[in-house]
Amino acid sequence: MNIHPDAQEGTVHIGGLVVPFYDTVAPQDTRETIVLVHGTGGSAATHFRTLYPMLAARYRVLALDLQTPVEGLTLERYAAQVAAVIQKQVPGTPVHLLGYSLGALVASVAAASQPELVRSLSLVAGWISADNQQLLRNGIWDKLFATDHELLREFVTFMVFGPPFLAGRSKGEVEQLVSSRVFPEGIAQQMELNRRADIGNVLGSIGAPTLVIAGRHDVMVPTRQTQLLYGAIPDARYATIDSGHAIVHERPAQLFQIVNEFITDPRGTPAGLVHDPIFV
Amino acid sequence: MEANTKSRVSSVDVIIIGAGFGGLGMGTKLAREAKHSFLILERGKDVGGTWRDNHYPGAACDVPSHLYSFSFRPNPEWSHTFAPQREILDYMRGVAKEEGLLDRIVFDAEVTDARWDETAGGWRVSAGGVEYFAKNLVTAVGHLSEPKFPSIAGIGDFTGELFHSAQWNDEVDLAGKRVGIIGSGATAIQVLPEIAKVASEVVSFQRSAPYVTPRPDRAYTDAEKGLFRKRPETMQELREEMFWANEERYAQRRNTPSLVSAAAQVALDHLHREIQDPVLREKLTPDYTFGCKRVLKSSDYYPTFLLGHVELETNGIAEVTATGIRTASGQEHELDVIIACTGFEATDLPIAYLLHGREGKPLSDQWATGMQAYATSAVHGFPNLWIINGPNTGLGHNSAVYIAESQIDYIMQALNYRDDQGLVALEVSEEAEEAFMDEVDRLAQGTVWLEGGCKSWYVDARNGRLTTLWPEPAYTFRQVNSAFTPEPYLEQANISLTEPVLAEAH
Repeated sequence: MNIHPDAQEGTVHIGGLVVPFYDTVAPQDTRETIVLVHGTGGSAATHFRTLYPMLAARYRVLALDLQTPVEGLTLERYAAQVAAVIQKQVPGTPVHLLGYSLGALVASVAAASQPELVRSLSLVAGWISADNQQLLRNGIWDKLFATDHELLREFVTFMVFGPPFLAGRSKGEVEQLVSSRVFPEGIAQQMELNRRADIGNVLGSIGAPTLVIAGRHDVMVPTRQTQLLYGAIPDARYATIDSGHAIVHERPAQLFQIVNEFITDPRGTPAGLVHDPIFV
Repeated sequence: MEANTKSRVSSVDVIIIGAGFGGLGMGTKLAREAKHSFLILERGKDVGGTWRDNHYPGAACDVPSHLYSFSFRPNPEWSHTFAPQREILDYMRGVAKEEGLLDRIVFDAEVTDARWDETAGGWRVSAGGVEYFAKNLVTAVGHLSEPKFPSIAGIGDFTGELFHSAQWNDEVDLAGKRVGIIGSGATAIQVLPEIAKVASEVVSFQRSAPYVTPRPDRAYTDAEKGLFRKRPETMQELREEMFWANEERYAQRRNTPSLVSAAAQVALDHLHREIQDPVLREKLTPDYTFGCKRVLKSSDYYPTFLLGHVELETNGIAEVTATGIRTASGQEHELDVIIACTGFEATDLPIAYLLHGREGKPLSDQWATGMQAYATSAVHGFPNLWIINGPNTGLGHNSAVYIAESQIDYIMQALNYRDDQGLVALEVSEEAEEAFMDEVDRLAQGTVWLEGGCKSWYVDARNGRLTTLWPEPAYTFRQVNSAFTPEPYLEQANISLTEPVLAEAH
C-alpha cells in the first residue's frame, strides 16, 4: 500500500541495484527535506508508516528501500544508495537525514563521507559496534532463522518491543504482532552486517549537528550502546524515549515531536545537551 | 494582593466563569500562585461542569482517566482505565476542596451579562442577580455544555416524558417502559446498553452510523494502585504512554489512506465480530471516512442490538406525535419516554451572546460567521478576556484536560505580564488574530475533518472552517498555544488610572 497520498515513487540505479524511493515532492513545495533510512528487515513503508505522514505535514519527506546485494554487503554500499537518492532528488540542497537502527549506522557513514549532503543527522536506536549482549541475540537469531521461523517470530517480538509496550497489549494484539512478522529477502545479510559493523572510526568526523535518540527499554540495542554514539559525535545532543527498540512503532508521535523540534533549528540547542523528558 | 477568602468581595483581579475542568484548573493555578484575588462563578450547585450534568446511566470518559485528569493532581485511586462519571466528578470535587477553591466559588451564579468597562479598565459581570467587577475575565464554560435539541416536527406534542441526556430526569423510572433514543453519538452509545437492561422496549433512532472501536477497559489491581501511591512517577509513565498512544492516532486524521483504512478496519472487524445479521450489519456500517466524525469506544454497544427488545431504526424521523415517533417511511413507534442524545451547541457558543467588548459589541456579533481567537484564547476588541475551551481547542484524538492546562499556562503568563508591566488592558491585535487563523486554516488542509465527506460539529457550517477542533497533535497545541509572548498584543494607554501604563496605540 502507498506510504502516503503525496508520495511519488521513483528509482535510482547504483552498484548494479535498483533502489526505490518515495518522495512527497511537489512543484510549489519549498519546505526542507527529511530523508528516512530504515533498519534491518524493514522498508520505508514498514518502519515509517506513521512517522512518514506525520513528517509530511511539515516537510518534504523522502524515504528509500535499501537494496541488499547477494554478496559483499557493507555499510558503505547502503550509504552510497542513500547518497544517490539524495543527489537525484534534492541536488545541491543539504537534507535532514534520519536513520533508524541499522539505518542509523548507514546514515552515520553517509554523513561522514558526504558531509555536503547533510544538514542535520538524527540517529534513532543506533550503535557503534555490537557488544556481547547484541552478539548473543544475533547468534540466537541466526540459529532460529536456519531452523524454526515460528519460534523466531516469537523471539523477535519478545526482543524488539519494550516490556511496558508488550504489557499494555491484549493477548490478541500480541499474537498479531508475532504472526505479522516477516523475514524479507536480504535480512540474513543484514543480520550478518549487524554482527561485524563498526562505525567507530567515522563518528569523530561527522560535522553535522546530530541528535541521538535511545529507547529506554531497548533490550535489542541497549541504551548503553546507543548513548556511545552521543559520546563519539562531536556536535551531538541526546534524548531518550520510554520505548523498546521498536521506537518507530511504539512511540512514533513522540519521536516525531523530538525530531521536529531538533530539525526546526538543529543548532538551536547546544552540543552536549541531554534533553529533559517531555512532561505531558 | 487583595485579601479574599471567606467573605465574598465583588471586586477581584480575576473572575472565572465555570467550575468544570477548565475553571478548577485555572483556579488551582491562581490559588497556588497566590498573587491574584479571584472568584469562580458557577451556574450550578456543585462543581464538575459537564461531569456534573451528564450523569446519565453509563456515563464515562473515553479518554483513559490517568490522562483525563490534571497533570498537577495525579490520582492513584482511579478504579478503571476508563473511570465512570461518578468517579470523575468525585475527583473534581476533591480538587476543589483540597486546593481551597470552595471559598472562591459562587454557586447558583449563572452569568447573564459581562461587559468590558473602558473607564474602569475591567469587566462588569452580572450573575445570579449580583454585580461583580474583575480586571480580568476567564471564561471556562466548555464547548460541550449547552444541550442541543433536535428540531423535529411535533416535538412539543409528545405527552410522555422527553428529556436531553445532559438534563437527565432522575424522576422517570425507565423500568418496563418503551424508550426511544434519538442519536447515535458518544452519549447514545453509552446510554443504550444501560437503558436496555431495564426498559421493556428500546428503539434507537440513528441518522448516521458511527465507527465504534472496542474499549479496552479494566480495573486497576490493588498492587497497581499501591504502587501509584508509593511511586507516583509510575503513574506519570502510564500517563505518558496513554498520551503518546493517543497522539499516534493523529496520523490517522491526516487522511493517509493506509493508516485510515487500518484504523477503520479495527472498527469494522469489531462490528463483524459482534453482528452476524447482514441487514443489521449494513445499517451499522458507517458511510463516511473513518475519523471524520468522532470515533466512539464501546464494547457493549453492538451486542445490545442482539437483544430481542432492542430495535435499530434508520428510516429517519418524520415527526414526534403525542404517543411516539413516526418515521419517514410511515412507521409509528409507540413510546413512553424519548431521550434526546443529540449533542451540544459546539460551533455557536452561547456564552458569546453574553460577552460585550469595546463599544459594547457582543462577541456573538464578532463571531457571527464563525468563532476565532488568537492562540485559541484571546479575541481582539475584548481586552483582558481569556477563553478556555473556545475556538480550535477540541481534539479528535486526545485529552481535553491537557488542552485546558496548556491554555491555563498561557493565561497565567498573560496575567502576570499585565501586572508586571502595569498595564490596564491587554488586547490582542486583529492582525495577529487573523494571521493565527490563517495558520490554523493552513494546518487543517488535508485533514479528514475537511475532506472525509461527512457532516460534523467539528466544522462550522457558516464558514466551512474547522473552528472547534485543533487540527494538529495535542503536543503541538501546547507548543504553539501555551507560551505567552507580548508582541501580538496592543498595550492600551487610552485610559488614565493610577497604574502606570506603557504608551501604545491601536
